[in-house]
Amino acid sequence: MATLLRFQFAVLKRRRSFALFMLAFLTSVAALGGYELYYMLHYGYRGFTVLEFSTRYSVLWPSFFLVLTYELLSLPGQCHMDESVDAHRATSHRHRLAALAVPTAVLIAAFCVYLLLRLTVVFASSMAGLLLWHVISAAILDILAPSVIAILLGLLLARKAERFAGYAAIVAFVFVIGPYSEIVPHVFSAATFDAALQVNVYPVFDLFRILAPDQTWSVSPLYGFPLEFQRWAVAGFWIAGLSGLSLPFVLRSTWRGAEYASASLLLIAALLFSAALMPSSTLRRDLRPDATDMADMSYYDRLGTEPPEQLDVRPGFRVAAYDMRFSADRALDAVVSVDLADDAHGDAYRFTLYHGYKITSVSDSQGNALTYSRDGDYVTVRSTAVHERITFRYRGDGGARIANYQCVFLPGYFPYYPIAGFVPLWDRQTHRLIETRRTDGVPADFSVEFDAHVPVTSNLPETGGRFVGRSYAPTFVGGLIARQEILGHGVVFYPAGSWPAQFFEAEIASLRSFERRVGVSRSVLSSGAAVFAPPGLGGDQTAVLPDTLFIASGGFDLLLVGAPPKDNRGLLVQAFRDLLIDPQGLRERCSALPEPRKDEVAKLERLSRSGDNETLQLYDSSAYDVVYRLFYDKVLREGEDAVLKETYAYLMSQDPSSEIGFLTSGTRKVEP
Amino acid sequence: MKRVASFAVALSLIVVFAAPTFAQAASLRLILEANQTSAWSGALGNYKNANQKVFNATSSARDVYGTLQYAAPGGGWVTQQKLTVHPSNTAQGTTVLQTTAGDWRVGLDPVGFLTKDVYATNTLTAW
Repeated sequence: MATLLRFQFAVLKRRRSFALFMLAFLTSVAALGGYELYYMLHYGYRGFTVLEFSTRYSVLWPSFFLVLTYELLSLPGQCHMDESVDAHRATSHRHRLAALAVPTAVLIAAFCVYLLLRLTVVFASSMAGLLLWHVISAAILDILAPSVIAILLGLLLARKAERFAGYAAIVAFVFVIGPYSEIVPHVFSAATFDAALQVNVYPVFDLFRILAPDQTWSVSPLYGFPLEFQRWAVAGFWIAGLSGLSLPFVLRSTWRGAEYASASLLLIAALLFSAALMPSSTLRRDLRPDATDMADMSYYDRLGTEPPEQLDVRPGFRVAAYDMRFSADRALDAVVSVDLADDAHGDAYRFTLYHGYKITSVSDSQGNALTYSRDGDYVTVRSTAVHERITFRYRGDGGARIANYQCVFLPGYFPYYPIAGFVPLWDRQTHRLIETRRTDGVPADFSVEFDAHVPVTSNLPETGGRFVGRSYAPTFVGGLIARQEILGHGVVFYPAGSWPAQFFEAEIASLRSFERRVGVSRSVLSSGAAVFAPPGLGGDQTAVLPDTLFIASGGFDLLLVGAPPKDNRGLLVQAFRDLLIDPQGLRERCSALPEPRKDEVAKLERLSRSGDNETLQLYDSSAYDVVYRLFYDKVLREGEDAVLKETYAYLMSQDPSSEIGFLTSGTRKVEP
Repeated sequence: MKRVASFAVALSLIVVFAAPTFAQAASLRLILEANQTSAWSGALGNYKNANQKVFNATSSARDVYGTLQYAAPGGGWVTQQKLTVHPSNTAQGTTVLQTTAGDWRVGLDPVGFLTKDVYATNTLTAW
């Protein structure tokens, strides 16, 4: 065997093209990893801003190992030595094992270089505690596993396929696992959004997706690289399946156990295949209709011909306390008991629970099953009797509000637990989930047990492994998290992202400063409220609850949270922002603008009052200079402070006048 | 010669001091015509914050994706936000903030593979 190994490595000397090919690959690995290191040291970036860089080139790995293995194992065939090797049944497998030793050795060497450089980035940015195991797991799943699959496939192709067929298969493999293959399911499923005509082949596509998904998206700092159970099962399926098929070529053919070993591996592959098909909560930001960031729009805007109705029905009772037990594994598993008070419910208890969670049972305090019906997000428990406690058991997926092995993001504004009454969840005007939940101003007592594989935190205090406290709507966040007390607020942020703790300090301070300048009497960030950073899962929004704030952008945007969405105020918002943040820049820009003509102003004012989207678009594209100049004239007339206060009051009000109407109407008092 | 030198000095001062002032905020509008299958804007450079506003015309045959991308100095384009907008609708995305000033661009892509017949605009504002 030692001699065979020596011969195999000697091939690299004789065939310089092989050696150069390997050298080019190893140089690429070192260069990409080295650039990440340089990127971090030179620009001062940390975390995923650096680590996401080389992920998009990961297709290089399996491509290289497939070609190398195929070429090395095809050599005996090319030299017409196959028959003589196979003639010695007791030793032929040794030739193939020896040939496999070369790509295996290269893989080990390249992977060590890759991992070493990645870990250097992790340690050098002082994130070992947070990212060490995450980066190692991602390297195994996204780099090592696809390379092993490629080596096994190369072995099979070398034994079974002729040269042309072999290379055709290699090209097909690289296309299928690469980033461009999404064209195929995209053509099938996104050619139309008409549900009746859609063919969703993404689940099949996922079975071939052995590289890191969503490579053009920024990595979520809370979630990290997608390492879901489903992806491990897919990688395991291919490795076990290909190992089972290739085992006869690398084991002594006279050994009787070979067939059993092969059959066992194929059985394991079948089990892993089934596991990969099991429903699970995953982060997918590709173009599939049910992608994480598009699932809600697909459901609420386009379910069949009639979109689901949005109801607003008062409950007729109050939930005094919640006793909840959550478990995050492949998806969220929940047992939620609600203690009812002030009960005047009539013949039914009405609750709202996101439609992605499938209820398995509803029972009373004695454990007796209660009759219930489900219509989308709305659950009706039929009972004329008064119940002190109702218990719901359910499991499922909340779309972008993920709960799985690697991440938990269950914001309080989202009904991941049954909320009293029927509450509208979808805003038909903005086509977004409504993020300000109606709480009726009544907090409840919560006692929550959260079983997760990642550290979980909440706005509720944790005592003895349970989150216990009084809240309007608790939030649970788990994954690559950190928590810090900043300016009197418990801030939950994600250090592997681009927003460090200092960022929140600066933004909270700027919010307070803006609020003072515009005369805000009631801040959006109430005293002691918990602050949560955006998780970067897609569709991040700023949301405000009485005791929690979800920051998706900076202090200025927070100042205008709650402002009514009006299409004809956008330019004024920009000018207002410039005056608040950069008054000097605004002065210099506006003083160079020409004085607007009266007829031009009148015409734009007419356009801006149009309810028609097209006309507003025309207005938007032509009114910039006029709005800025009018705003600047107002500042000169009335002074910065007065204009800031007046404009803020106008922007927060339901005043029907357009921004040009506001700017040309002189000083006035606007009621918010 | 002196005049040329004075002009050069004055120009340099304008570039050094005035340009950053004017670079405080910038905006561009990307237009997707009905015969295009997708479009990307040029980049607005050296800004920390940006937002996109996507308009899809009533005459459009289908939804459109508006994409906002950011490239940190030395890095590649990375998607930060994607909005899906129905015909006859306008969507304003949340402001995306970065701690390092970099390049921003927006894209428009009708839903579906190589589909056309969408008139849409995406306005990128960066500051």
